[in-house]
Amino acid sequence: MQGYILTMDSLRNLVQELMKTYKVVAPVKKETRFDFCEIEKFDDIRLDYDTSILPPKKYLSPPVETLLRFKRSENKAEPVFDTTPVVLFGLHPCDIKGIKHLDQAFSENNNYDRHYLAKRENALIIGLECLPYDYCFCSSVGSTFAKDGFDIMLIPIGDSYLAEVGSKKGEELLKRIQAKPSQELDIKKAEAFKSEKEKKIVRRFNKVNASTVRDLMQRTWDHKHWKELEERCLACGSCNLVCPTCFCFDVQDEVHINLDDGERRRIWDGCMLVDFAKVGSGENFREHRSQRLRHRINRKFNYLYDRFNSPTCVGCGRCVRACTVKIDPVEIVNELSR
Amino acid sequence: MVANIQEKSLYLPRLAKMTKKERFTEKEMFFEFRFDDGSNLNHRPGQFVELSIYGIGEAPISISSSPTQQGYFELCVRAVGRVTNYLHKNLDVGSYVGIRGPFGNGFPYEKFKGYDMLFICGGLGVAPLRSLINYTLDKTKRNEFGKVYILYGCKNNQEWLYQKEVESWLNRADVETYLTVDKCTDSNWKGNVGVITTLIPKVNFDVNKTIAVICGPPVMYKFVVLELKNRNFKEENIYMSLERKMKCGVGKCGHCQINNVYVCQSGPVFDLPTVRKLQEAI
Repeated sequence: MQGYILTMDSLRNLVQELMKTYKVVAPVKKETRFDFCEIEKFDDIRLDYDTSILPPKKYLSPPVETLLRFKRSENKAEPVFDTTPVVLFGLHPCDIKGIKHLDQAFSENNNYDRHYLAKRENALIIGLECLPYDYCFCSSVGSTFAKDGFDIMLIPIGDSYLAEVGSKKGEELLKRIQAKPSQELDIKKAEAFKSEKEKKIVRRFNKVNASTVRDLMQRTWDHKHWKELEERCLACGSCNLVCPTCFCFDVQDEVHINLDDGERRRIWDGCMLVDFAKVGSGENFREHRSQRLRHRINRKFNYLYDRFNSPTCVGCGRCVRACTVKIDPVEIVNELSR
Repeated sequence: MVANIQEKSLYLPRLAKMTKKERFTEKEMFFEFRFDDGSNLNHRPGQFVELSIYGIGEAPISISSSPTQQGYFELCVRAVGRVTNYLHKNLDVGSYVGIRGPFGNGFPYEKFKGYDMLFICGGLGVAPLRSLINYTLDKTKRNEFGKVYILYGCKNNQEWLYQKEVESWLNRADVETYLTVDKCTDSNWKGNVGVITTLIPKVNFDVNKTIAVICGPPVMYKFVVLELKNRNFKEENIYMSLERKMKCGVGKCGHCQINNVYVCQSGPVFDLPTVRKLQEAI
């Protein structure tokens, strides 16, 4: 864990340096909660945030994203790529892993989604090591720590931060602000922080882990618990909206008031919503809430496992907090493995 | 970075000109499209395109013509949503639409060489199967396949698609064609009445050398498979094209997902052993 040491002042320096060339997005206070927003000054940042309302994904795959601009009268369209340089600052390891999943999803099978990738290639990721809060369960899905997927990773050590280097860009940046290389003691402190974090994670799967949860899902596809959950689930799609690894979308055309110019836009969609798998003929392949919830939970722990070589749930706990009826993947998994 | 920016969008269609439009039934119309540069769609039978009209939207449509038909491609479209209704009512010969694709795997027809072919088409399911039927019956390909059986059923005598071609199949000596209507509403109909499965016992196929290819409404598959199994059909010789909501066509948007499979990428054509492993597939 070779790195640099950043005092509060040098961290401020770093952010101010970044603000010269990048749009800097970081966790800020929003009434009683926190969310990722573009900051105006370093002091806007809340390094002590627990989690954000929405994952930082929204800056790479926004809720509404223009794919094409068209002119109906000329049958012409041109693609829109957003290349604004952005810094995503203060991301917890779970969200960094979430973005790694998106990177793969949007570039798999030689189908490179330039709309996503243009944003991603122009984004710098600065992570921030964290302590668990009331809802998260990262250790059960193997996303407690980020090994890669960041340019710089900040680990709190007393009043300062150990800055772990994740990329060449990250290293250059740290050198530019003349950050001092870390000492052995700093590294020990950082390691102590991380093991403290691990100890504090109390919400976890009882009988399975990140690699065996898939088998559990396969064994319990017909479990009566899915039907029981149907009684509770409102199929509102809140869990989809706050998930860092939900990347499904709908595409809609929006025509301007001149009825000629317009945009083809991609909009977040959710597999919990009733129309998600409905086809033109009216057939709905996942008509029941229990089917849709089972699909969603399996998608996170089973269906995509082979592709991503891990669960796609990163254990951030946002879905539990967002759920009106408190449906909780940890409780589901523990009930299924009981 | 600049080089990347210039790379293409997966979602940008190319324009195709409508060169024929013909009404089949109250709900279904036939369309022929051509690219201005004369290029082919370069599809496989069983693939689909995303047909798009700017300002209206995009819809997945199965390709109905065989790749042996060069210089144009054909679609049979049922008016059910915004895009398809707009196509039916507002666009005419000479209009342009956007086309993305072809997408999906298509039928593995290379594997079917030397086999007898049993086509089982329910309603609009004839549209994608016609691509493979026309391929099989093309004079340059016909000798690659054995006997050809076509089973085609629709709701009633007013619902036939590709009526002239169906008649030509009936008249061909090298094709056995069996037709049925679910309900007889018309005294002109003298043929079989009953759902498509009632045709299967009438066909004298050799299960050791026949490939069955099925496409129809979702409810149909289970019953057709059951009937084929009654005739000792081998599971690995049964293929089907599954209907799902295919929005992006490039394995991203998630709408077509069945378990671990994105139908727009790994499908829409699956053999029965694969389908058996997918819960919720049929």
